[in-house]
Amino acid sequence: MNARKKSEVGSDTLTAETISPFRDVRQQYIKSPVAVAALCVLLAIIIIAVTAPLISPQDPYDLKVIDIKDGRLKPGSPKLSKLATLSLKISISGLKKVGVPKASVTPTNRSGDTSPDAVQIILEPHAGNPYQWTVKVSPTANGHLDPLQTVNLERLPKGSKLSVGKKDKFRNVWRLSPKDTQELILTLPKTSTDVGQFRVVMSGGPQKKLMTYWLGTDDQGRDMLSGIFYGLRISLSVALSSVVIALTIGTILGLCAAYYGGRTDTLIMRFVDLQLSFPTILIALILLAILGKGVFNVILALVIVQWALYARTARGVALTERRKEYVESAQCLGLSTSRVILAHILPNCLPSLIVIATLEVAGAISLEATLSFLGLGLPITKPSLGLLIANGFDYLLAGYPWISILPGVALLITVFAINLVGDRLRDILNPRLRR
Amino acid sequence: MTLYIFRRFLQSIGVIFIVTALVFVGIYVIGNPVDILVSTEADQEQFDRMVKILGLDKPLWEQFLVYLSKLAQGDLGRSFAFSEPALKLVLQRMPATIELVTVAMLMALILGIPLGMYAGLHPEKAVSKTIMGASIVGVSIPNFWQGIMLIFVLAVSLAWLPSGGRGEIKTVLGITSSLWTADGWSHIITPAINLALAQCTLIIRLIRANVREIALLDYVKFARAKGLRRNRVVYVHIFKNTLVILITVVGLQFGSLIAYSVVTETIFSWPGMGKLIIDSVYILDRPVILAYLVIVVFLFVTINLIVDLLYSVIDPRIRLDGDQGSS
Repeated sequence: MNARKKSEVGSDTLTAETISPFRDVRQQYIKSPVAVAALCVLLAIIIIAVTAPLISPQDPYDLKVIDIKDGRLKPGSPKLSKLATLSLKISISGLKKVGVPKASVTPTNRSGDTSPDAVQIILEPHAGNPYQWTVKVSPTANGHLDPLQTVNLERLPKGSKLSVGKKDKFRNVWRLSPKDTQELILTLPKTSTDVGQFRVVMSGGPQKKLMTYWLGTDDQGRDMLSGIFYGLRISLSVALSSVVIALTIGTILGLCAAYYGGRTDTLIMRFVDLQLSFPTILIALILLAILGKGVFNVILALVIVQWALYARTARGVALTERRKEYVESAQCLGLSTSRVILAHILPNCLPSLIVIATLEVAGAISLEATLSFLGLGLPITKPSLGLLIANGFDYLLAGYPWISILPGVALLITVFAINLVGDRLRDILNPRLRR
Repeated sequence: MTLYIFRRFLQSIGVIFIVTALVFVGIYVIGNPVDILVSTEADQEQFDRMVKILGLDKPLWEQFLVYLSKLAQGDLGRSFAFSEPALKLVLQRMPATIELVTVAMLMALILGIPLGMYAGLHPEKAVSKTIMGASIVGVSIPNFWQGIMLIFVLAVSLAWLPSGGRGEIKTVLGITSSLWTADGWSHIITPAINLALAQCTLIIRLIRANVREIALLDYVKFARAKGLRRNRVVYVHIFKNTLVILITVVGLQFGSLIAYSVVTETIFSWPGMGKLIIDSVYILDRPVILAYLVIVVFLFVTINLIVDLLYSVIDPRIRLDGDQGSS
């Protein structure tokens, strides 16, 4: 920005009525409503990316807050508070003795988070048959388990029968609905010992709506909206840092090539030509295949892929600038080479470079997403948008399309907005198109 | 001309040499293949023996020479996973990729040329603006996500086309391809659209820009003034002159399509080279990665050479000797 101001001052001395380049660009930019809208969207995306941890409804990578039971919920589903649970042990003793057997209800050692008085269990022996009991389960007035959601009878003695429901195929569990357990008849096997024991495991109680999963949840029960916010943050930061590094390296090399010419020029430009003749995706793919996954490696690959473009652009512009008189006069003043390059030539190359860098951010985001989708990019600890899409791709055919479609929409909007802004900037800043 | 071809040929060999050298450095110097080949419980003696077998104890330049001489004989090592020659594996899967890329290229051309011509001839019409707007969207959609959407719409929601695989293949006239069967076509359409869309937008934009430029040239005005029918001017005078740019695009984008087919093949489980290299990268099957690279680089350089030579055939203004005019 400093360099920009200098060129401004320089041009002011030449003609009296020059408007500052920044204002000029701004005035021209706002003439296109589409471009202004794109810029607003882009700014919103950047704000979201920067403030993701603050504005996300959920920290999608905090294992304490995500619940796998909430997995694959549709967009708009509510997140409800957890159900209260209670587990009680029931033992019926004195089955073999003469007289009426006795039933007792005691809490088990993993009795759940509700006090045992949240539910009332009534056990009545059938007349004349000590093995047949009527069981009535109902929530009590204190309301901790009201309404009951599930009632399971577990670890019943082998051969027991219930008047309702069916036993689980594999485990000794009868999954019953609260309606069934208002009154049911339990028949214990005749061969049983003196004591018959089983457990009643219940869940229920009032549920509060904690939040809404506006964009649904992924397979792990993470809020998609938060996941996308965090993904944007990661995607943008990786893309931006790679563009900044590549821009710096490419510009310096391109300027050197233009300024020194000769062998330096040939050497640098041969490399640039060689690299630009291969598609970026191929180079990035190979680099990551060799280097392996990781944030640093992805940035490195993106830098290697991009620098050549900046070098070529910088060289192209600098070559024409170099012949101009102001460079000559700067040299005549005895200014150092680095000063001539950085303070005089560079500012005049900036417009073209800014345009390309803007468009390349979109390219870098896309490329990173593609690489991550292929499983060669970022590690799962840094879930970028590409990784979210890859994760959802497995569920696309299974009927949960939003898990991969929505992060893709976010990616598309981001790339689209950047492209529109870049296109507009190119129209304004590129003197060849500005007639 | 002959001199030019000879020089270009030498250049191509130079490029292949440089790239193979870089790949050699990448694969054999940065990563040590012994670490992967030898089990973690191997002792130093076994380790040393493996180093000797692979020739890693020799100086680097000697290793490189051995590697080059093997390369010249078409020996790129054996795949760890399939224990077959790596080159053979890649070549086996090449027809599937070429088939996909060709169909995609044709689709892009058939759609892209007319749309680009139209947008170039009538730049102010609403239809043209819609075409251009759509092409920005086309550029912005990441290839892989667009593929996912195609699967979602065509294979899942509408259930018109299968979501992956190559379908039935048949051999006709010595060419084994899925294009000979209806089932094969139903399988190739979605992945080909996936590959073609990005190319199509590119072709539209290039042709449009080119047509706009040519339409303003004097000879076009003269042709109209001479009383030629508009159609003749468009199809003969303008279209012929966009061919130069078209050939560049087709030539260069053919390479880029091969590269992007890696993504498409992975999404649609198309059994081509691209899927092979991704699978090989996952299991670090280095000989296969290397063989794929050598073949792709070879394809690229050949295509570039052909494109350059075609220029002179199509446009006599382009002098290839380099002493007259500019290229």
